[in-house]
Amino acid sequence: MRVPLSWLQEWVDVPWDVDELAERLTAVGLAIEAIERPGAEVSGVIVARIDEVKPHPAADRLWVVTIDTGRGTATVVTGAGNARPGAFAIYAAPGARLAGGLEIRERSFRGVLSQGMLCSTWELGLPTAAKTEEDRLAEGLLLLEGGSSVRPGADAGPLLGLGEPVLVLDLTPNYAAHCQSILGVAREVAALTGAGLHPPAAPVVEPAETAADAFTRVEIRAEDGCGCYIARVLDGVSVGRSPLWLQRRLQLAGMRPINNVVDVTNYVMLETGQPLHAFDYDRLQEGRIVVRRARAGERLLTLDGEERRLEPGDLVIADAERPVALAGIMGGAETEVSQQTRRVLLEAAHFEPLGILRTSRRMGLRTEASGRFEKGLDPEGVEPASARAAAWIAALAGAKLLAGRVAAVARNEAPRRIPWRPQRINGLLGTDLSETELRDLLGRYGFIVENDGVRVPSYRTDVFGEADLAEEVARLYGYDRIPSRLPSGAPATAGRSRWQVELLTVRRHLVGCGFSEVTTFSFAPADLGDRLHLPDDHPWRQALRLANPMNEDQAALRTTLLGSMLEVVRYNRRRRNDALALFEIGTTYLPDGEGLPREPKRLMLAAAGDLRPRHWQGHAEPADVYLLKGVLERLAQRLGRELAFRPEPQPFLHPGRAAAVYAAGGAVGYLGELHPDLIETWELPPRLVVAEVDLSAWLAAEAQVTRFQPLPRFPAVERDVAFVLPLTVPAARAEAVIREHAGPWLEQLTLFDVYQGEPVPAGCRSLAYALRYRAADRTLTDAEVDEVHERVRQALAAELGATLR
Amino acid sequence: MRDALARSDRLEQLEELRVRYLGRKGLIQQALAVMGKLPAAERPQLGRAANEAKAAIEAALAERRQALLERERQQRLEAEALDLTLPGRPPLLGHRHPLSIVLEEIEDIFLSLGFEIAHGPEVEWDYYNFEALNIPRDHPARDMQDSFYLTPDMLLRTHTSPVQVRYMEGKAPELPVRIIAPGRVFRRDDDATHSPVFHQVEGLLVDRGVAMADLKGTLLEFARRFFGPTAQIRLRPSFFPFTEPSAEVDVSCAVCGGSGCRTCGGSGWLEILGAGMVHPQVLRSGGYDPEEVSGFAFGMGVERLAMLRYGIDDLRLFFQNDLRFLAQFD
Repeated sequence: MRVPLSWLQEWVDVPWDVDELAERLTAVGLAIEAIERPGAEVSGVIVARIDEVKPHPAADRLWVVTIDTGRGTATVVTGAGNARPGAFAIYAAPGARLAGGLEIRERSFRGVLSQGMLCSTWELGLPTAAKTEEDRLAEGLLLLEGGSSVRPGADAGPLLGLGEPVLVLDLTPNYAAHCQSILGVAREVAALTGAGLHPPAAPVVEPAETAADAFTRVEIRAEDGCGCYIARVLDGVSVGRSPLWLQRRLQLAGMRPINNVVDVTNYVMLETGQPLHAFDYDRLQEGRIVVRRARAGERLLTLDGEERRLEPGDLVIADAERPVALAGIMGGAETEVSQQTRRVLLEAAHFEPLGILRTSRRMGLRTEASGRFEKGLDPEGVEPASARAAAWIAALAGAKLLAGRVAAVARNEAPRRIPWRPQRINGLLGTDLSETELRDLLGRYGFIVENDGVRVPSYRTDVFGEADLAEEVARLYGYDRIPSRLPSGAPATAGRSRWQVELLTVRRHLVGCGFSEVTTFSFAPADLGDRLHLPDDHPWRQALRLANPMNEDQAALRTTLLGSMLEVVRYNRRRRNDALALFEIGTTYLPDGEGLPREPKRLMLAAAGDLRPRHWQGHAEPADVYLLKGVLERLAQRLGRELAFRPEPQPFLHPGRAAAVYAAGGAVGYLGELHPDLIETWELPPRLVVAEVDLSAWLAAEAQVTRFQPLPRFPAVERDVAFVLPLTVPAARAEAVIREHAGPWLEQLTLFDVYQGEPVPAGCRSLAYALRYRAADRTLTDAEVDEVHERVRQALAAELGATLR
Repeated sequence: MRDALARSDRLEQLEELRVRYLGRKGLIQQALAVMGKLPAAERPQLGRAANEAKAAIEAALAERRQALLERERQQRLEAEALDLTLPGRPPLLGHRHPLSIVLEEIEDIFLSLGFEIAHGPEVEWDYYNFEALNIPRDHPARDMQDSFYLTPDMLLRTHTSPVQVRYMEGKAPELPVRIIAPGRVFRRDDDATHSPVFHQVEGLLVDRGVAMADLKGTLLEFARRFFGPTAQIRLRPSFFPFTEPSAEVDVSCAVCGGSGCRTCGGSGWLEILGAGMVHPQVLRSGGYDPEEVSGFAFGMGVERLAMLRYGIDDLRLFFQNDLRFLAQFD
């Protein structure tokens, strides 16, 4: 909504400068997006009359124009095609400044000297519908009709309202209902100042003797869609350009002048908020109006040149035969007011908001009218707007207004009433306003306290209950004057839940282990399964699809964090962030029949490169599967949950470097090195290792409570064992054998060396373990330990065929 | 003797001196050896003198020994000096995401104000996301947020407000309701200032006699703890279908302190959240009687707060996860 300040001032006294006005309106809820002063930077422009237009001798698309500047003649070159002798244009002489700070100088165009230039609307910094360079060229020069003020040499600044402040309002839906007009904003200003409105009078016109009802009939067949419809008829209309002041106002308000009839309907809509429409009466079949729902198969060519297919729910204005307008949205082309129009039927009506919204949304057709109707308009605003517009058309188009109006009323809306409980308003705000103060505040917005409650003014279609009244009071009283206090009630059973605490623990743990947290979108590409080389029946392929994704890469909801993580790794690799240790705790979305999906939280880890920053003391920390495994094992200890790793292939992991992660309840994830094929196709760093764990499943189990173990009172005895085994025997197997035979004295088992190569035979490796034996109740003797240790050694040889070293 | 002592600068030399003076054939012994030849009356005198000399020599030796040991230790420590201007070895620590840092801080503030943390599903029924929040189908307010739908009834929640109703449903008629609900929300929007995925923290307090004054006090307390003890807040009337009265809440610009700068666009204020008194219809959706109880609600954007906190000027940085970005925090 754009409000030219001078227009507002016609309706209400504004005791403040425009900046303070904007501040005060913002404080009552009418957010001011900007204060524009179109054309403020333009100077030195005057009116000139075009005397002669000749094609440029050396250029196809240029014209040489001779003008009368009021002080003599000048020659200018223009590219605009609409220059015609006799018209008045805006002339920028050398030295003038135009929009964007452009300074005008004499300049030669292909051999013809241009003494300044003629201006378009856009070059003057005024609002225009032209968006592109091409549009602007097509729009051509701003041309004026001659008149007392429009004469050669006249200063164009005041004439065009250059630099006049325009408030640009960004209205929230509640205020959009009653503030999308000069009148609406004026009411807000009046409430603030406490002074009244002074609406400018419409021209006084002498009605014709002929009555309008001799010409037309109005019938509402869709009573739920149209509360009332008022038609007025004008005869002897002379369609032409509107006076300059009217065109300016429309342009400042953001609309395009069309002709005097249409301009008046727009002008009065901008003033009062009530949309209006003018039909060429002679093109209406039988000259009458039927408000009804569209019939299946009906079509309507709207003013914008589109043929619209109507659906049975759409509310239309029809004549005796066919739809002639899309009610409340846009008129039809066939009944449009044109140069030939002699008689006009002026429509003013009250339409039901939701129907308008529905139809305009479906058609993707939003207009100034629909944007107002869909918010709910003042049912009592219809008649005044109709009378006002009729008077203006009569005055500006030299028409005769036929006597009376032809109206159909489907229903009269009784004024809404809200219970009057002052203590409740104070209670909601935390204020202590007296009843008189409350009455006064509400009264300034037009709410009247009566015996049976508060009467809501007809234009406040957004106010229903006491909470709304509280807001009216609060915004006029001032949000800043409402006291401030801390809630006095009891606190909730505060504190984080176990689950919330454990998620924090997971995050802290990983950060402490050198991993940095990433945050990625919840989406996945529709073909992620293919990109991860998953088999057709892999559960991750069961992803929910969005009905209206923004693009194919975000078409589904992720079932794994792996895809997002690989994207992050690639993003970083391309920026040469080579050493990476990353994690994400994120939601995944698993379909669950017809219900809402399950949303387990998962933990994703990824690492690549040497994680220890280059340092003069050396030290490397390779990112490999053992790093991830260690980090997860320590996390498991911290969380008091089991976690086990079993070699198990995954389609997206290196076949020899993959494990499934098991918790008490079953598999909860995987760990391994990404498959080299994926590394290649995704352009990932070599040897990227990843792990993912379903935290929701894993942490569902009760945590083991930490129990203190008494510190040992007797010394331990250390023994090592080293042996050679085929590579095919997993270390876990050797460990199991050791534990089985070492008995209860084995306190700690540490693998301290793994060696392959000479002198160990090919296909084998040497493993070296340190065993710490201790008894809780006494000091073990060497002989006792030796005996047990020897059993361990023998068992390794006997059960695994290990060669002891 | 004194000269010799002063000249000796090694422990071996001290030992030589000790032997020379105090050894079994040392000078003291030699002196005592002649004692037998002295008259009995003088013997005690000589004995005393010899003992005194012995004690003095021992003390001098010990003192010198101590000094030498001290010097030796000094030399050893000097030789062990390290160049502490060499760079330290950084511990391998990662970084929390800035959104996590800020969110945790917001949570901690509200936990200490007696709120608890509630969660709701990210994929929501249309009912909870809209209808229960006083946004019926075809309501113009649905225009304000373009949503991602899965089915005609199921969508990615466009705000954390559905948690309000879900929580109240589970809690009614018990009082108080005092929660924040942090989480991920989704809108069909993607440019420099909009992300299709972002994070909000919802707040809800329902109890007997809750007024807008309580909302102001709570938000002021939050602003002071988050932005600093001198922070001010300003409420402007606004519109949300699920609150009435509604307000946009600004905080005094932490960069310029309110005098106007580039960050706040010269206004001295920064918009940080939307809030209001819970709409009676929403209380009813949650199972409470608006005649009996009232409440306030607010919703803030975590990205917005993080951008203000750290001076981040591009929303997309949060989701690109460039390590050079992440490594700047925590």
